[in-house]
This record gives sequence, structure tokens and C-alpha cells, in this order.
Amino acid sequence: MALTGLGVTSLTLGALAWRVGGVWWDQDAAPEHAILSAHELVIVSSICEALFPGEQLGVDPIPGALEVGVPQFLDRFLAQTLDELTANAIRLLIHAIDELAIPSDAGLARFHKRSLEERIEILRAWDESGLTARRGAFSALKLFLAMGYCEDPRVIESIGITYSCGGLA
Amino acid sequence: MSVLDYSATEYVGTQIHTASTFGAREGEVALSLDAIIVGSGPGGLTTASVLTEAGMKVALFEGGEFWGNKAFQRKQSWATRHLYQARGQRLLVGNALISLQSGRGVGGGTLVNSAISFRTPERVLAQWIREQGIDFWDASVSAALYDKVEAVIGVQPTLVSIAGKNSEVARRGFQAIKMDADYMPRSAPGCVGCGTCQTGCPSKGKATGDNTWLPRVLRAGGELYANTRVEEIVMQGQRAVGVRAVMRDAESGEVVARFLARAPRVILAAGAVNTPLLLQQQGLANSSGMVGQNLHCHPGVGAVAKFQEDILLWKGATQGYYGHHPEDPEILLETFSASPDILVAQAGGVGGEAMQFIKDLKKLAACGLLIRDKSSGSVSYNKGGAPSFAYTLLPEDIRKLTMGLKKIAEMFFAAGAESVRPMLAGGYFFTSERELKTFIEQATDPLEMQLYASHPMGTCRMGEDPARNVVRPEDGRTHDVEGLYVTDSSLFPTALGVNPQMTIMAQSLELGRRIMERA
Repeated sequence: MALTGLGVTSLTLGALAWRVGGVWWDQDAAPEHAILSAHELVIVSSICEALFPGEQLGVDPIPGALEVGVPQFLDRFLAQTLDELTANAIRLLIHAIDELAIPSDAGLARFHKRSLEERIEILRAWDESGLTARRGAFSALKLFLAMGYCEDPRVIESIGITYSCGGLA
Repeated sequence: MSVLDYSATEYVGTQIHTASTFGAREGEVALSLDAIIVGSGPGGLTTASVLTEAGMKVALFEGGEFWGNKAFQRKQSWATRHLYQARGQRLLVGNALISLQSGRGVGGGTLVNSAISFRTPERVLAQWIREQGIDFWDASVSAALYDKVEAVIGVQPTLVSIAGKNSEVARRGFQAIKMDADYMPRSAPGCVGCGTCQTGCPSKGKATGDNTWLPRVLRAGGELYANTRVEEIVMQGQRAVGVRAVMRDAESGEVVARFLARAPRVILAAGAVNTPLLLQQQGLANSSGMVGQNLHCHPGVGAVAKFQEDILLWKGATQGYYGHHPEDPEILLETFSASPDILVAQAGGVGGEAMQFIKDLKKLAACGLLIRDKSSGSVSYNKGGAPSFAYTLLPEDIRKLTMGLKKIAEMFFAAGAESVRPMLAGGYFFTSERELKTFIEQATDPLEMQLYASHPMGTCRMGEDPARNVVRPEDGRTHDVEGLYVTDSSLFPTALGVNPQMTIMAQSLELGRRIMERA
């Protein structure tokens, strides 16, 4: 949705991602995936877990994004819905989230190596960033991941939503 | 008796041609017609109904799908892929970032709009008559046009029985602050209140182009080519004489057939983005320099509110209630529903905060606003050949957005909300109305607003003066090119201040009649 925001952010941050992450765009897709490489799947999974961790406690537990396969949803969405330019901008953003976590850690750990609490804080910084392009880019990724999460009937049922018409099945 | 007519599917394979029914063809398929209509949204279908019923041989070309009687599911991801132009990724860029959404497919915007059916205010139409010389917006003509449109698409106020709690909350709030407000007039005579118009109507209770105007076109002998994108306007000297179009498989994108259609009338109704882009591609009809300029879009912003009671946004009319801002008639407040993913992405935070937001979805109400924007922008191709959108919000429009947002906050608290979250960067659920209003007043940078628009218009402005306008009022023909017409929202000289589908249809009825008169 925020393609231009993505573009601006991606160009700025992409250089860092490329420098640290090396050549990313010619990595093969992971087995049974259309676009995301094995490394990208690791990063996306770590983002998904922090974004929608679910709730395991209580009478009605809510599944987390990993349990309902949101990384796989994103892979399909990038391949089937978005054009190549936008899909690549999203991939670059994923790398940028991973690489840009390095400066904020004494051990120089990337995003996917950080604890859940730290990852949530990092994503919050993206979500609430004062830089419009950064916030806009994350907002686009968040929407795509939210689609995968909120369109899963297990999530919807677990929070007590019943669609009387136009269901998800 | 319902106005909804589901008979169009009976014409698939005979008068409705799709990539799957037409079959692969070698060479260029030649068609000879009285009129070609590019686009099958509200403008194209309404124009086609007038021309075919008057006896013209007409074909519509539509780049998107014909969905027939499909009962859509509430999947935003599916809708993004299939029902929105540019797969929902358009963005107006300037001193703000505004997501611009337009429907795609047979029915165009009616596939994904909320069926909101207002007449354009008389003060706006009077301006169009006065400044642009568009005589048919005089009440003596336009009243009958609107009457006919309302009858065809079944406009009525949203019934209390299907309005839902979100509308009830707004009714309560607007009443408490003594605002002029009411149940939304909508063209959804069979609505059962699924609250998900924007992903396609699941109940087929909404009047969409394919169950209102299209059956009329087909009964009168018109033909429709879906999955078929017009790529060139064929010119003979200074006159448009036809189009070249390509039918592609919807999934693979492979070419199924190529068409060379010839007609003395080529009518563009592809919407305020695609119509000017098609003209710009060939440098047509642009002696005024106004093709693609004067883009208005009704930018909007909204807020969600948390109540103690269950609201259940997904039960009830998607947009069931509205109110006029008491101090500015160009701010229109409208309730809305959106799918959980949209709400979470816009206002849900991350981690535990997001999970709490999701758990609270049942308690959330939502209301937005649109403004009649004086601000404007443009549609063009960038150097790389991709469509590009520019738009700059004027200070007076930014003020309207904040004024409207403050009124929504007031309404929600008056209705008993526990907390209200504005769609502004840094926003959160405020429990104090005073603090929220202060926060909104300080949000003067439009980049901090989560803005949305779905009514592009004005990019081929209609008016008498060929030096300032693209299309003439007499019959919708372009000033510069014989045989080339426009009948969509591109023509509007200014923003309307209300949802545009009725005005697009009313305009198309009249322009269709005038085209016939001159035939």
C-alpha cells in the first residue's frame, strides 16, 4: 500500500542491507516456497512471532502467527498478488529490519537472533517511527502479515468472531 | 419487487465474452460497431444502457473480470488481488501519503464501494454550471436524472434492522451533540448486513453495475468483452475511429485474442486514473494541458472507539450512518467497517498490544470522514513508464481533516466510548476527550495522518473553454478529437463532497442521451 514509502526506505536502507547481508536477490526460494529464500523465511518468521505472538494462556488461547502459517501466506502473497518490483521492495525491507537491528545491540545481533521482547521493541520502533517512509514501509508489511493472520479461521474463532455471512471458509 | 437483476450470467459465451469463453484466436479479431465503451464501471455501463436501448450496436471492453453472481468472501487479500486496480498499491505522493483505491472488474467501483448514494449538493452543481457551463446540472434536468438512477439501483435509507451497532452508536453520538445526521442512503436493496462491502458483496444484495445496468445493456443487444484491456485508440487523422484491445487470461496473463474494433464513437469510461493515462499514452485531447491534471480524491481519515458493549463491526451495513459537520458542509462524517487485518495494521500496534487490540475487536466502533478537497494533484507516467500520482494537501484541507476528526472524537465520547484512537501517527486510545482533541489539533503535518481516498475524479475536466478543459459539455466529446468521448468521474470540475457513484451514473445518462441526439 505504501509502495513509494517502501521505495524510499528500501533505497536508503537497502544499501546497508546489501553491504551487510551480501547479495540477497539471487538466492533461491526455499523448498516449497515461491519467492522467499530460506534465510528470508527465518527473518519473516522472527517478525511474525513478534508481531502476532498469540496468547497461550487463559481459557481461549489465541494461536500465534507462526502456528497459522503467516510466513507461508506472505510468500504466496508476494508471488501471486504483488508485482515483482513491490515484492522485491518487501524482501529488501525484511532484510533491512534484520540488519538495522545490529547497531542497537552490544553483541551486534541481527533481528532474527534477538529475544522476543527485543524483537517486539524493534518492531514497535518501526511501527511508531517519526520517519514517515520508515513507518509507511513497515505499515505495508504489517498489513500483508495481518491479512495472513486475521484471515485464518482459527484466529477469528479463537477471539469469538462469528461471521454470519461471507465467511472465510 | 427488487431492482436487482441477476440475469447477466445467462449471456456468458454469447454476449459476454471472457478469456475462458472466447477461446484463443489467431490474428486480429475485427469488430464493427456504432460505439465502443472503454471500461465497465458505473460510467461505462450507464452510458452503454442508454446507447443500446436507443438501438446502437455497442461493445464494452473491460480489463478486469466478470464475476457474475459470485458470492464474495470477506478476504481482503483475495479482494486486493482481484477487485482493486493496481492490486491496491496506488499511493498519492506529495506533502502527504494517501492510499488511493479503485475497484476493478465488470461493475468497477460498485463492486467494492459501500453503495452510498448521495446526490451532489446543489451548491456544487451550481458552481459547475456557473464556472464551467455544464447546463445539464441545472435542477430542471438533473433532478430527473437522479430520480432515474435512484430507481434503477434501488436507493433507500439503510434499514435500522440491518444497520448494526456501529450505526447505532453513531446515531446515539450524533444525536447527543445535536448534529444533522441520518441513516445512510444506499443502493443495497438486498443487504443483509455483512459489513464487508469492500471485499465484494457476499449476499449479492448490493446493487452493482453487473446486476443493474448490465442486464439492460445485454437485453438491448450490447456485448461485453471482459479480461480485455484497450491498449490504443485508433486514429484516422484527427478523428478517433476505434480501439485496439487485448484479451488476456486472468491468471497467466497470456494473450488469448487481439481485437481491432472500429466505431465512429469511442467513449472512455475507465475512471479518473486510467482514462487520462490512456490519452497521455498517445498525447491525445490535451491541447489544454489538463489531461491528468486537476485530480481530486476526497481524502479521508478516521478513528476507532472502544465501547463496553459489543459493537461487532462485521454485523451490519458497512457504512450505515452519516453526519454533516455543523460548521463546514464540506466535511462529511461516515461510519465504516473494515476487515480485522486493516484495523490491526492501522491501529493495532505490535506484540502484546496487537493481541489486546485483536481481542478487543468486538468492542470497536469506527467512523471516518471525507472532505471536499480544494487540493489537487495529477496522474501521469513517470520516466520509467509507470503510472505516477502526485497530490498536495492545502492548509485549508488539512484544517478540514482535523476539524472532522475532532467531531468524530466528540461523537464517540458522547455515545459512551471508553476510549478513542485517531488514525494519526503516534495515536493511541485516549480516555480523555480534551486530551484527544489537543492531540488532534497538534497533528498539523499531513504526513502524520493515515489518509485514505477512493474517489479519484477531475482528470479530464469538463467545461466550455477548450483552453482550460478537456471535454465539452454539449455531449461529453473531447474538445480536440472528433469521435472521442469521456463519461466517467474524470469529467467532474471539482470534488463533490459526497460519494460519487450516483453523480457518475446521472452524468452518463445525460451524456448518453446527448451522444444519441447527435448521432
